[in-house]
Amino acid sequence: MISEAICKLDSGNWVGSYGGPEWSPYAQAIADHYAVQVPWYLTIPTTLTGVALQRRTILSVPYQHDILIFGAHINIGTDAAGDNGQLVFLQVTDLESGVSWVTPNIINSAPATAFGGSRTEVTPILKLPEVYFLPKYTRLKFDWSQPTGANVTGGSITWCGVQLSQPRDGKAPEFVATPNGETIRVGSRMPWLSTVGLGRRTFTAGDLAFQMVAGGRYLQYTPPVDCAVEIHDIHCNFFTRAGVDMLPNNVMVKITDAGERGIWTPDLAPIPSTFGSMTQVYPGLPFTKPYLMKPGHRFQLSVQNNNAALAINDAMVTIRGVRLCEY
Amino acid sequence: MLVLEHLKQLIEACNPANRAEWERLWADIKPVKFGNTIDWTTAQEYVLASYQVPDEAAYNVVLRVECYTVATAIAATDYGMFEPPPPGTAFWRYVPFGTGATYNLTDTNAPVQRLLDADELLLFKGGYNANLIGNFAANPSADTREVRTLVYGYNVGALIADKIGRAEAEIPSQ
Repeated sequence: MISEAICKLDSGNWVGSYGGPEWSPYAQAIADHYAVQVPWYLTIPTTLTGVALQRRTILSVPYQHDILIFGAHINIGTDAAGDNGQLVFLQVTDLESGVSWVTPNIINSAPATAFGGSRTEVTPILKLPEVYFLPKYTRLKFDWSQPTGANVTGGSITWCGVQLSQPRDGKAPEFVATPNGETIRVGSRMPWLSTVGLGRRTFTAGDLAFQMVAGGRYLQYTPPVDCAVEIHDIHCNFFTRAGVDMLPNNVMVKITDAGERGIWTPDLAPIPSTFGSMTQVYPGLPFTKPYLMKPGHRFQLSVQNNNAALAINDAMVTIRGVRLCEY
Repeated sequence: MLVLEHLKQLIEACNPANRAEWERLWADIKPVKFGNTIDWTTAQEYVLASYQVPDEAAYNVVLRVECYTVATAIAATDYGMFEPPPPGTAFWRYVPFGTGATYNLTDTNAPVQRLLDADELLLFKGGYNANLIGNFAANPSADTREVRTLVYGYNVGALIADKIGRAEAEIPSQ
C-alpha cells in the first residue's frame, strides 16, 4: 500500500520499469523463504499458423518448483505480419485461481508487446509491474488471438524468473511481511492489464477494427476495477504501424480517474510522454509515481489525433499494474 | 442576465461549504467576452474568436458560444437577416504566444452546430491564445456576408478549475 507519510510504496513497488535490478520487498520476502534460487526461463509458443483471426490456447506444463516470474521476452511476427507482436494478443489465466491477467474489455487480451520486450527494443525483457508467484504443480493458460486480422506464423513468449527450491519448512510460505509491516498472502499479487482500443470501433466478419481519423477526438474507458489496483505503467502499440512512423507526438492524451473529482489535468499531453512503446527503451512507460486505483474506479482517456492527414488503425493502449486483493 | 447566471452556476458547481467560501469563489471569477467578425468568402479556415488567456489568469472557462451569419450588402436578398453559422466544421485550437506549434483541442471534423451557437464547458489555460476555428464551405454568392461570434468566457483561478475541470465537455468524433 502507499504510505502517505513518506510518499513511497512499501509493497508491490520498484520492480516495474523503474528500479533497475532491484527486487520488490514482496519478491524478496518470498525468495528469502527458500534455500536455493536459480534463474528460470519458460518459452511458450504461439502455435499460430498464418491464418487471419486464428486463436490458439496453450497450457503450461505443471512445474515441480515454485517460481517467481519477473518479466517476459517475445519473439513474434514481422512488420508485415502481426507487426512484431503489436497486433498479436495474449490473455494469461491462472488456472488455480481462475483469475485472468487482462481485464474483460472489448478485447479481453493485450498486445504481446504489453507482456514482453522484443528484439527490436533496447530492453529485450519487459518486467511485470510486480513479480508473479507461480506455485509448483500449477499451470497457466495462454490464449493467443489476432482479433484485428493479423496472420502470424509461429513465434513465442519467454517468461523469465527465478526457480525457488528447498523451502525452509518444506512448503511455500502462505504469507510474507513487507517493510511497512503489512502481511500479504503469497500469490495474491497478480498482474493487472487493461487494454483499450482507441477510436471508432467497427466489426466486420469477425474482424475487429479501431480507427482514429486525422483530427479525431475520442473518449475511452477502462472497466471498473474489482479490487484495488496499483497502476505502474502504460504501453501502447502504435508508435509505428507495419514499420511506418505514426508521428505519435501529434497524438495527445488526457488521462483522468473517473472516480475522483479532484484528479484532473488541463493539458493534452503528447503520448510519448505518457505511453511506452516497443520502439522505446520503456515499452511500458512508468508513471512518475505508481497510482492506487480504488475499487470501482476506472481510467478515462481523452485522445486527440492531431495528425493532419494520418489515420491510425488498431491503436491499443494497455494500462499495467498489480492487483492488491486476495483470491 | 446570462453572465450573472453563469457566475452563479460556476460557484454552485464548486459546491461551496459556506458563505465565506461562496464569496471567495465569486471573487475568483472575471467574465470575459470575446469574438471576431469575419468576412465569409472562400472555403477556408477562419478564426472566429481568439482570446489570449493571461498566464496568471490561470484558466478561462468558456460556457457559451453564440454565432450567426448576416449579409451586409444592401442588395442581398437576405440583407440584415440573422442566419445560422455557415456550413462546415469548427474546433478549438491552442496557438502559442509569438511563434510555436499550434495544436487542436477538439475534433477538427465536428459539424458547426456542436460548437457554434452552443452551450459549452471547456477550460483553456493561461499562456496560450484560445482560438475558435471555423472551417467553412465557400460563401454561396458574391454578396458580402459576415460571421459574428460571441464567446462567454470566465477567467478563473486554479481553485475553481480544480473543482469543475473534471466535468469539462468532450466533443468526440463520430
